Amino acid sequence: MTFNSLQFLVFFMVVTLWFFRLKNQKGRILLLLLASCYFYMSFIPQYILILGGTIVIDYIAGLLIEKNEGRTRKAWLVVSLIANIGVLAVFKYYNFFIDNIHAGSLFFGKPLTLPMLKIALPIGLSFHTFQAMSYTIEVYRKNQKAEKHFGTYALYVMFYPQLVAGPIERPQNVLPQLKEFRIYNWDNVKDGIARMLWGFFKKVVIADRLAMAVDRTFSHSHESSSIALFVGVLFYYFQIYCDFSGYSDIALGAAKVMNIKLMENFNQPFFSKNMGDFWRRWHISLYSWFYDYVFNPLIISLRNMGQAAIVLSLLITFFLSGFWHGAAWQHIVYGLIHGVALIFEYFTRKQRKKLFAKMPKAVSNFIGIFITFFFVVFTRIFFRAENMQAAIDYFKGIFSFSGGSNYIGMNRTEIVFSVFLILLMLYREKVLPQYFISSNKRFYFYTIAMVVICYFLGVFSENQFIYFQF
Amino acid sequence: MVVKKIFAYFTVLAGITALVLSTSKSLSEHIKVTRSCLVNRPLWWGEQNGIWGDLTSMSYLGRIKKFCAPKDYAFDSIVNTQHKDIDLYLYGDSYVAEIPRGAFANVDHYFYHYRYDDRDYTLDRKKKNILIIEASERFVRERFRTAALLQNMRVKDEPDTVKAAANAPLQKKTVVNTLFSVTDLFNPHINQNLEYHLFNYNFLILPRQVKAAVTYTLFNRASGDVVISDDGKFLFYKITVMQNNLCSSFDQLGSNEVSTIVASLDTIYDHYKQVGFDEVYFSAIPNPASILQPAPYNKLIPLIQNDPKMKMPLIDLYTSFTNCGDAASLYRAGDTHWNNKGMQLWLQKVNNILRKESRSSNLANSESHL
Repeated sequence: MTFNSLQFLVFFMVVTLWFFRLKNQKGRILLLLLASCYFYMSFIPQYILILGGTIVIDYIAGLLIEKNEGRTRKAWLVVSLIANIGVLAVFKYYNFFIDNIHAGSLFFGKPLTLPMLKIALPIGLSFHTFQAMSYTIEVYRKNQKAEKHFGTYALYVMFYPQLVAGPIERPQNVLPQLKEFRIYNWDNVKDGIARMLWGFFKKVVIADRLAMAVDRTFSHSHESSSIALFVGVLFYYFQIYCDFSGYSDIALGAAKVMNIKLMENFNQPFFSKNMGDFWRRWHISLYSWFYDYVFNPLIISLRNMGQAAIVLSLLITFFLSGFWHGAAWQHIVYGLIHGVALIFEYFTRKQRKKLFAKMPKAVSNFIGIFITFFFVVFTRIFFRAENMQAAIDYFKGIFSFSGGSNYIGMNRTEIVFSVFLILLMLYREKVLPQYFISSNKRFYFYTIAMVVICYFLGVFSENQFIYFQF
Repeated sequence: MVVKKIFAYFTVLAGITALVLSTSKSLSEHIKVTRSCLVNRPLWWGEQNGIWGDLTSMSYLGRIKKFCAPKDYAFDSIVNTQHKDIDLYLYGDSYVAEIPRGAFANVDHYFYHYRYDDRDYTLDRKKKNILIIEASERFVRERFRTAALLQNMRVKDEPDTVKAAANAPLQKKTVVNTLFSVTDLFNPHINQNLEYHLFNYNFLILPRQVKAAVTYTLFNRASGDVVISDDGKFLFYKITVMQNNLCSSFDQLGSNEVSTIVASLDTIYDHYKQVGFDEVYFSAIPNPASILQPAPYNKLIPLIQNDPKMKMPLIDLYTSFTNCGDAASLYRAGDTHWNNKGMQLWLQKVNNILRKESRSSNLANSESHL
């Protein structure tokens, strides 16, 4: 069940109205748990068993970590991590490793044929395993008490708004909210619905429209002109933002209606002044996860190595973040390029500061935003391409400045309209974030307008959200 | 407060009802059948269905005149034949569903078998039994990867040697597994069903047509599952032109795919010959996109037809369509199907075969008398 489906609209309406009609917390937890199971099973029903299995293991591990001290405590953390990473390794990375072992064995002249798994990746696997791991790690670090109520813990992992594409939550934020009886609050309902509508707008009106151009240019890169390829990847940056942040808006909005506040996932990343700034604004929940559970522990354990510790920690963190996005070399390269960019920024921070100090702030800001923006745009090629060769070909296509077809899957009117929509989106998010819920009148007008706009201008082809595949 | 409460309970109940109705295949089907009497009637709760073409209807482009081509099948010149010595079995889809018995030459009994149905037949061994397996191109890859057809269409008095093979993989349907199977609980078509139950009424068609007309006028696109041909004259079913779809004319074929399909067709051929059919023919109707869209066609039909291992005789429409000179005159502009001219071309080929089969059976009969 994708958020941009009719099924979700009916489901959301039923669950939310029922939620507020229930007068005890146990009933609400049960309702949300059943609703989340239904939500997840509507993708591939059988995979609920995998999710259920890891939930049981992590629940027990959490209790035993809290109960024990010393090595036993650590052992239970390791059990939990192995269970989660194990599921990821089998379902997401197994075929990648086998593929590379096979390629390596061919290279050395001793071909090995190992069996490949013919299974679909469970939806949102990387998201809920990371969320589950953050629970056991926080219990281990004594930042969070182990949850005694199985249903509440299961709901922490399965809470349907953030189950399949985040935000990757922390137990300290969500568990107390799930345990507390949430009172109906009209301001939150307004805020939640407005946010959901904005998410729908970004997904169906902008992202799915831009997808037509992106899909066309990436699938016809050999015959497209440099300009078409450039527009394709430029649109892709906005497409993936509108797709993923649109999903996050719907998730946050759906939770907010029920008076549950989830963490923000985006903060106007197009206005980032440097790559460090970018990663504080893009997919915040994932990168704060990597910061807390990978980068920081690495820096601490490598502290004797001086500056090399930073280089190594950044490279490892971004290698893993690239690998998290997909079991493919182009994703690893994408992560590593960003890691290298952050290392460059770290070593040139004093010089850059000096240089920018000589310029008016507006100019230095513009240069920073401009460079960061186009750096991200071009590295997105690795993120979108089918494989490394396709990414390299796409790069070559752009920088060969050659002719070819300028057709990008939409007519001129639609290209102009898409640009207008992108500018509108940037303006709305930068200047008018809360404007439409500042009064009831504005809210009603906004709601009707958004429903009409989404219907008449939306591109409906039941496109899944891009981040579901991770 | 009370009104709010009633509203909430009513909405919850209505929502759950809509979800249950749309999830259950049998309930949804039942409603569709019940509502079928309202199709194309001028009632506000009625529904429109394909007057101008199934694709025009799917894309709500009924206001764009060039895509409105009504069905023009004509069977007024019923084929006149003296020797009705053939029992014709036509296993096919919507392309041939409306063809009456009288349109076929030398046919005494005609059995049309819709591809989704399961049915048993008893062959009249005194007649010449001809089976034609017709499939529109978009179903060929999915449908003939295996010889699953053998489970659909069975001959009752088939020899024991082949009976077991044909019936072995057949799953028995029970009330329990029909009602409670997991797949039924999570119906992948729930959104289409929801849309049908909630919005498929005449009074809601205007906004859809306005949206479709705006999208077409401004962006030269059709919405949903329909795309416009490069020359702007035809609508195509999206799955027949997109890449990575088995129904598509432009999706690359797997390395052994054609061999697998040919092997399945051979199995089907051998089986039906063994159970008593005098001859079995295969006819693939090209997707409109395969003929009308100048894009790199995957050549599924010619590759199957020209495969040296293909045993089943063919009713080759692909060559006739491509050589016709005016291929655009063979299909309806807003429909997945052919028009009368396209259909008559096929019928002509079928009737030539049937006449030949009839002559050969007459000859065989006269030889046996001698």
